[in-house]
Amino acid sequence: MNQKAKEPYLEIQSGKTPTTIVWHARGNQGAVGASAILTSLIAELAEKGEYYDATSAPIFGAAKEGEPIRVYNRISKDPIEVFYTPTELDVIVIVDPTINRGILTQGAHKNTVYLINTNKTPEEIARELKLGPRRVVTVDATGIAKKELQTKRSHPNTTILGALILIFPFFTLELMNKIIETTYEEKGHKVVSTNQNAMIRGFAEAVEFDGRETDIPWEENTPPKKLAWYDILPGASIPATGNFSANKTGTWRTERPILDLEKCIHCLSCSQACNDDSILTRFGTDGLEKVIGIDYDHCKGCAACVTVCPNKAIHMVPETETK
Amino acid sequence: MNDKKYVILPGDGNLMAATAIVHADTDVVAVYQITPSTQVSEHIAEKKRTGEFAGEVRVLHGEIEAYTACYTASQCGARVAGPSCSQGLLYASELLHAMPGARCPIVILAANREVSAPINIHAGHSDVMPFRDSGAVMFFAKNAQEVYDFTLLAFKIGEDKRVQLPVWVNYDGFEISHTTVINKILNEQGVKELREYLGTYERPCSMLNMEHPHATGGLVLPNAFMEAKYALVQAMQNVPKVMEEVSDFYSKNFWPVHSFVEEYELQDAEYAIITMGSRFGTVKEAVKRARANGEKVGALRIVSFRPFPVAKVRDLLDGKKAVAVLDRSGVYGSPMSPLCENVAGSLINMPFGSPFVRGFVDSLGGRVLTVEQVLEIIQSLKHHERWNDDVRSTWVGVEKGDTI
Repeated sequence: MNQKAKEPYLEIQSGKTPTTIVWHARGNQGAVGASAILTSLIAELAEKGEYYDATSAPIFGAAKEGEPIRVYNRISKDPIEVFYTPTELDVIVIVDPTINRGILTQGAHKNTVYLINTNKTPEEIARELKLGPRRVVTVDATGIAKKELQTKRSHPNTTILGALILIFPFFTLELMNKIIETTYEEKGHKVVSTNQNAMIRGFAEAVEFDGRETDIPWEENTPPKKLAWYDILPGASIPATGNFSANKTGTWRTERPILDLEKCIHCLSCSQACNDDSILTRFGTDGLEKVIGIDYDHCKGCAACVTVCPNKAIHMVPETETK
Repeated sequence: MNDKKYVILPGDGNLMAATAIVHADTDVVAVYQITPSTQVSEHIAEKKRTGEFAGEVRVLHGEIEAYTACYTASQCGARVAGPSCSQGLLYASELLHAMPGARCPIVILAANREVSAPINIHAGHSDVMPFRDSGAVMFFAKNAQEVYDFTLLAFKIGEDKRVQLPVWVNYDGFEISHTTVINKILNEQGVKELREYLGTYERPCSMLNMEHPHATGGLVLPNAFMEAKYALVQAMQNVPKVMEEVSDFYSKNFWPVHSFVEEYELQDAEYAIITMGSRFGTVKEAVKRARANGEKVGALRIVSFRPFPVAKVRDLLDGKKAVAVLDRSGVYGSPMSPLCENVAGSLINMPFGSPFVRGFVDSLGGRVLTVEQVLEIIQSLKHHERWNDDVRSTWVGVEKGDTI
């Protein structure tokens, strides 16, 4: 049992009402992996004799990197035989607080615990996201992961797992260390140790806040209008064409490319590498095409431009730091 | 009608299919030739050369390409026909399932042939059965005349705003596709009247409607997928009414046509034999001989397999002691073949008890079903009490196989 938690947040309940967790993240932030690690943890506990069962189920749209995704965990002392998406959630993990607000409070009840990846204080973020009077745990997982893992893109998943020990007291640092080792073994010793360090820091630096007695506002989520079969056009066709630009894929971005025009040599390599045609160019008076900026409405933040730039004129900045 | 609207044309199923495609003023025919439906495209190409056919004929590099062309042309608002069969249908199966969902009223002419392996070019319904639940309307013709009739009906039924679904005209390979019989086709006056009735195809959500263009092929996620597919259920429910209207017009103005079921000596029968396609003649012959010996037996042919004429089958078979279903599609590890499943499914929960149902698999790969074999099946119907503990389909005429 860890010493840090003031009170144990959650005990695993019986099979009829399994403990449910949702991870709100964007593609490629490692939420699916973290959720699977959680399931491996339960498997480890099950091996020790105490019978536990767990599931980890991701839900994706059509796109991958950057698109908001959800991953659902169920944990129970009895065998889990259901596969539907849980409607009541005990823990809501927000890996990326830039995801549309409405969905984040979906399924929350009065004892729901939020675990949020942010560098703000728990109360600050709870008020900003209108999470209501609930318990909130925050950890600056993006910042910690960036420092510890030394990777180009941020992978906050293992850091958040560390903070999760606070919520589930039956997870221990020792157990978490072991699972991270077995999960990342193939990627080498360095990956294992850096992820373990990130996880420990996540546990140590997590901040708790009990907001149940406060007046933090609650944003009611209005469910979208349900379509009847006759509302859908024949063959599910769309009564407009050539409107792909209306799909603002810029909201999927976790990191933003910043262009330094003083360094830019206008080689247009970035323009060719861009998957979303988001490098804005214009023909100058000399008849040559010049880079003038980046279309943030459609840039998904894939950093392909950063990779190809021969003069290091573009660098990525986390989206949370640009506001 | 007094004035004659037809001429006599001796021809096989493929010629009749091609003639119907031309008479219906089809815009696009896209094919990759495959035995036994090759001659459809050959006849159309010939009619294109002589100027009789005004539409486009495209021979592409494979069935998946041919049906993609059909699919796209239909989405642009063209009247489309696509002849193929067997391996060709399987190769293009992705498109054949997409057509109903995208609401493309393409007429698919399938000269039914068995599927590999072992490879076989002769008749059998195993090629069309994988598509029975794709959401398309399906006719099974009994002769070349019906291939012509159903192809003309198919365009009108499929393109009706209440339906908007592809229509399959299935005809047995070689037995219908290559057997020349004497047929009636519409003469100049008849074709003129028919084309007036068919009109031009007006697609509700066309890609090429310049004032209101539509995009197609969008993604539908769990929140609306069932609703999008439920539209097909609704469209399928409208088919019988439309089918009745269209066949009424055809019967009144040209000549009679069976569009749901065809019955033979069924009224006072105690036993019934049910089948589809070209073998109905054999069954009728056997029933005729059995009747001469005082047997109370009748025959029923399912004409529109999709939508399955449930109400008609229930009505016609109510009170029968036992029915035998002769299906030209093999099943392995399943209690019943596709046709038998549908007949048995139509007969469940009847207020005064359902007839006994027994499935038979016959005539696969062009094997001949003899009148004697059908007579034997009729005899076996009398011992239906013994079927209690066995619902397997019996394979007819298999050397040293099960006995009836």
